[in-house]
Order: sequence, then C-alpha cells, then structure tokens
Amino acid sequence: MIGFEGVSKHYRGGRLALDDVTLSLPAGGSLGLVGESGSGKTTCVRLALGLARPTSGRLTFDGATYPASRRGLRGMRRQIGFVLQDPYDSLDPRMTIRDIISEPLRIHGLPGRSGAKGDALVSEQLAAVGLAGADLRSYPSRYSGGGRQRIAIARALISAPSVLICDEPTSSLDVSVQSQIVNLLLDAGRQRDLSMLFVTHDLDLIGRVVDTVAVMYGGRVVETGPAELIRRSPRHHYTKALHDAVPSDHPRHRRLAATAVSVGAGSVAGIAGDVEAGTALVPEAGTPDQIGADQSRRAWVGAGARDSCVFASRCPRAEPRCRQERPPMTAEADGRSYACFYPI
Amino acid sequence: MTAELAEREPALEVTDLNVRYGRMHAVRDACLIVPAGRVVTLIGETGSGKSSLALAAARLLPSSATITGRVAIAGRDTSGLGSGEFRRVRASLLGCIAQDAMAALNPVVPVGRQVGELFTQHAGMSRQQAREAAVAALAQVEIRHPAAVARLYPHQLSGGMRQRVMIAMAVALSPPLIVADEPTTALDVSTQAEILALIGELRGRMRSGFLWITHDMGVVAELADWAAVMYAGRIVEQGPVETIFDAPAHPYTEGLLRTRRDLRSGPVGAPLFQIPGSPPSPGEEPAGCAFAPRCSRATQVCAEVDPGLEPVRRDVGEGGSFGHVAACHHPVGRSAGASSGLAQGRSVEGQRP
Repeated sequence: MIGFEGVSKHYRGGRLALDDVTLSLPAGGSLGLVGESGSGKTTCVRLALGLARPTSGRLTFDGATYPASRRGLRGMRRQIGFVLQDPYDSLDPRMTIRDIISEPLRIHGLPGRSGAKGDALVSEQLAAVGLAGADLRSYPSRYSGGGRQRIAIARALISAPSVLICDEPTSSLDVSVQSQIVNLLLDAGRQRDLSMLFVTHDLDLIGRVVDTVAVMYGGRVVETGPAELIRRSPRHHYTKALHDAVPSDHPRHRRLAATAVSVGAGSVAGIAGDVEAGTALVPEAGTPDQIGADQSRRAWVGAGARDSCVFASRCPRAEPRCRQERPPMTAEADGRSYACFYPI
Repeated sequence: MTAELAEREPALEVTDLNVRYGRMHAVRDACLIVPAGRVVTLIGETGSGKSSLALAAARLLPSSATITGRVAIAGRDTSGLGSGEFRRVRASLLGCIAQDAMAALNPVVPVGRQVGELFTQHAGMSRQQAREAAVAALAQVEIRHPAAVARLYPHQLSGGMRQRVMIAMAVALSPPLIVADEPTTALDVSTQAEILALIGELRGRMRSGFLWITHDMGVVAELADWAAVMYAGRIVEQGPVETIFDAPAHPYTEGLLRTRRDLRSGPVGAPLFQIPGSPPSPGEEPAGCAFAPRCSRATQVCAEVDPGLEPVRRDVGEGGSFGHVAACHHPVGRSAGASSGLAQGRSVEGQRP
C-alpha cells in the first residue's frame, strides 16, 4: 500500500533525517518500524501521512506516486487513519468526543457528519473500541489515557481507511492498559483488512504484532525481515544491541545492572554511548558547542556518515572498512536483509 | 549518634503513611522499609500513589497535601521537623533523581556549578574545592571528559547525560537515602541500559539505600532487592524481589508479570495477555478490594471487605518467604476458593523454571 523507494529527507540546516530508505507496506500486511530517538522513524510517519515531502526518492501509495497537489493529498489521506503517541495531546480538549470522532468525516465531506445518522455512526465506532454507551457530548478530560486512545482509534477508523498508521500508540499508557490497546488495534486491523504501519521503540512489542520489522538507526534501515527472525536471530549488531539493552525477565537473570557489560572503552552497556550522545559526544579536543544534543545527532547523520556504516562508531565489531564504505543491503533467502559487512 | 549506629539504621522507614489531597486519599496506610545499601522498587501505575509516597518521604509534596504517619531517614524522624529545619538537614539525608532532568536542573547555570553548589552549601568547601569536587562527582557517574561537561548547560547535553548529572548530584554527598522517580522512563532503551548499569555499579560502592519508583517490571528485575507493588493508593504486595517474581501472591502483581512475559515470549500475531478493565479513578474509594472489578479470582467477599496486608503462607510449593506480605482474600498459589480459570493458568505458569 505504501512504498518508500530510496527516500531521503533533509531538514533545513542540512540535517539528514532519512538516508536512502526503502520500505514496503504490503496491502493487508503489517510493517513495524523500530528505533530509538533520532532514528528517523517519526520522519517516516510524517512522509507517509503526506505531512512532509521527501528530498529525493519516491513515495508511493497503492502503486502511484504520492500526489503533489493539496487536493490530491487530501483524497489520499482519506485512505489513511492514524493514531499518535500522546492521547492527551492529540485530542482537542474543547471538542466533544462526538466532534472529535466525526472530524475525519467533516474534513473529507463524507456522509454522517451530523444529525441522528452521524450520532449513530459515532456510537457504533465507540462500541467497536470498547466504549459502548459513552456520552457523545462528553469531553476527553473525562477519560483516562487508555480511554482517550480508544477515542483516537475510533476517530482513525470512522472514515473506513485502508491503511492505519500507529506512531508509538501505547508508549504513554500504563502497563496494564497497553496490551488492551494493542489488542484493539490488532483486532481492528484484522477485521477491516487494514494495512498497518506500526512505529515504536519497543522491540519486544513490535516483534509480537507485525509481520515485517524494519530496524532503523541514524536515518537508515539497518535490518529488515520477518518479525520472528529479527526477534530470534538478528544479523545486524545494532539490532542485537537493542535486544541486549532490554531489561531481563527475572532478577536471577539480570544482565544490565549486575555486572557492567563492557563493549568499548568507557562504555557501560551493550551499546557504547547513548544514541543522542554517541561516542563523539565530547570531542577529544572538544569545543562545548559541538556537544549539544542536536548537534551531536547531526554529527552522525551528517555528510560524513554517507560513506560509512552509521553504526560503526558504536559497533563492537567495526573494522576500518565500516568507516570507509557504506554497507549495502544484503538479502538472504529467508526474506531478511541487513546492511552490515560483518553480520552476526 | 555514632556513625556505626547510623549505618545500621534503615535508610528509610515509613510507618502508617497517609497522603491526602483534599478529599482524595492518595496513599493509604503505607509501611515500607529501605535498608541501607539496598534498592527497594515501588511499582505502580498512574494514580497508584507511588510518587505521592516517595515524595512524602522526601518531603517534596506541596503544602496542600495532608500527610500523616511517621517517616524516618537513617533513624531520624523527619515527620517532626519543621520545614526550615528539614531544609537544613535535607541534603545530608537524601538525594533525589527526578524523571525529567531538564525540568529539575537549572537551565541557566552550567551543570558543574550546580553540582558544586552542593559542596559549597552543605560540605563547607571553597569555590575552588567545590569545582574540583564537582568534576570528580561527574567522573564518578562515568561521564567522559567531566571537566568539559562541567562547563556545559543542561540543554547542551543529551537526555542520558542530563540524567547522569542528576545522579551525580543525588549521590554527591553520599546521603543515606536516594529517592528516584522513574529516572529512566523517558530514555531510549540503550540509554536506560547504561543508567541501570551505572546504578548497579554505584550501589556496590555506596551504602545509600535507594527508593526507586517504576512501572516497568524489567527495571525491577534488573535493580531491586525488594519490591513493593502499589494499587489505588495501597501497597498490595511486597517482598524479596525473587519471591515476587517466582511466586507473586497478589493477582495484580501476577498480571503485571505475565503481561511482560507474554510480550517478550508469546507467538507473533497472537493477542497479548491483558489485565481487563482499568484502575479506579483517583478519589474513587471502593468498599472492598480496589482490584476486585478487574480480578478473575474475585468473590463476594472481595467486593465487600478490603483485605489487609497479611504474611503470605502457601499450602503448595515453597513456604512463605520472610517479609512477603499481600493484601488479597484469594492469593495466587493458594488453592482454597481460587477461581478455576486463573488457577489453571497458574499451574501451567508454575511449571516454568
């Protein structure tokens, strides 16, 4: 349904947010993007929603290039429902839940915008997300985080989209509510045969809910393939490091806080230096200005990174070649591919 | 009091603590001990009262909160101290690590000076000495190039680095108690891993007791010696961390553990294990057990009688472990009166190593 073909995105100031990204969300399938802050996953969402345009490369929807005109984009967006991270931010507190949920109908001029028919349609949506009998004239403030996210899902589904984009839909929710919301999304996807793009920083979660996972780092896809393979036997060292950074399941198996897992000099965990900070955080002969969080992100997504592996500076396995050459995507017969010269 | 005696005192002892905001009863009858040199995690969801409990212990709640009960830090009863008096001794009693380091740090003062102020104000150092001590404190939390970082402002640091600075400030004066309020929640998973490793290191070096608030069972597994679970303002279960993970007694604790285990190892595409329903909204005070509406083991008595914390005794498997308490009429692992559905699930779970 949605395709990224060699898509790059420069923001003003020269920051390269996406660097030659190729992704494909098949019709009726599900694709998960996983990565840490600054990996480019949110930029992918913005592009897929038509909120930003790629600097180079091609974006396709149902086989056709994304429309350039506003009108064309609006028509395409009718096909896309989205659920964002923060249900406290994404719902207008001054609108009733009826108005919130039926907003896509008004924007796209669809039937059921108002009147008794509209009320019935909204009530139906509310029932579908587990809020049967909710007062249509209530405001979002009446609802907990989970309740608000249910309202956001009802809004996303009311225009009968063919694609559902979920950007960290559960990361601001309580643990006991998270799985309810994920199950609701999975059910909706199955019942309506939606194509789902699911974005999260949670490798465990993504491995459970989508068919195909793409692991992003520094604006690139470093590994992609069937969820089960990415979960059980990653090839790329970054995917492995992400796995290793997840806290253990039992105090007897603790890894992180028990003894320091040392990879590189000065590092304390599986990944040397946090993403934002990077190992280049404090330059050897550093000027303080170079240390800023944003600047440091630019440092590794900057022009220099184009001819090397983006993960080279933090990789336990890096060889000189990794810093001089960009590893191409290598495909395996089992459906996965990775960008690494020295895979696991 | 001699130094040796002070060391033997628990870092924190909270007895019958109640916190109210107007008519809202945020924390009810909480009792908790943080032994010196140990990490106690307080687990709970939004509105469970975990932050209120910890902030009450640290006396960081606004004056609109009504607090009753006893709080003793390193054997010193702080509930009796006036606010001015407490402010004078606070830095020597406890350090705090907040969730949002950006908000907790002063944006217009270089971080080195913020750390240094602790030494000039509470350790009687000169400015020059404090500057050196601040760089040493930053080095202690494994910040590379601490002298360069000391000159930076908070906005020039990444989230992980800011959290390290917060930790440096919390541990700078080696206070007996360190209160940490979800310090890794907003961080990337790899940064969280580093912070957890750092804390694991620090706890080996220090004698401070940590009261660590989290909602993440993974963080509990990595850090805790002792775990307390809060639900709707009450501590519903607490005990040694291995006991909590091996044999949780409260169905809510079991549900939290199962949610995470299922997420990590369930089959791709299968529905996730979920605890039905949602926590009571703040201010709601059910007559019986607050978890009863969401609990598959609940019976009539659960809706009517609020269960008190009782030592957990088992009639199957291992015996109760010291200090393990739970507030439940039908604790997990005790067959009598257990509803069949979850009891079966339990026996399957129980076969896992």
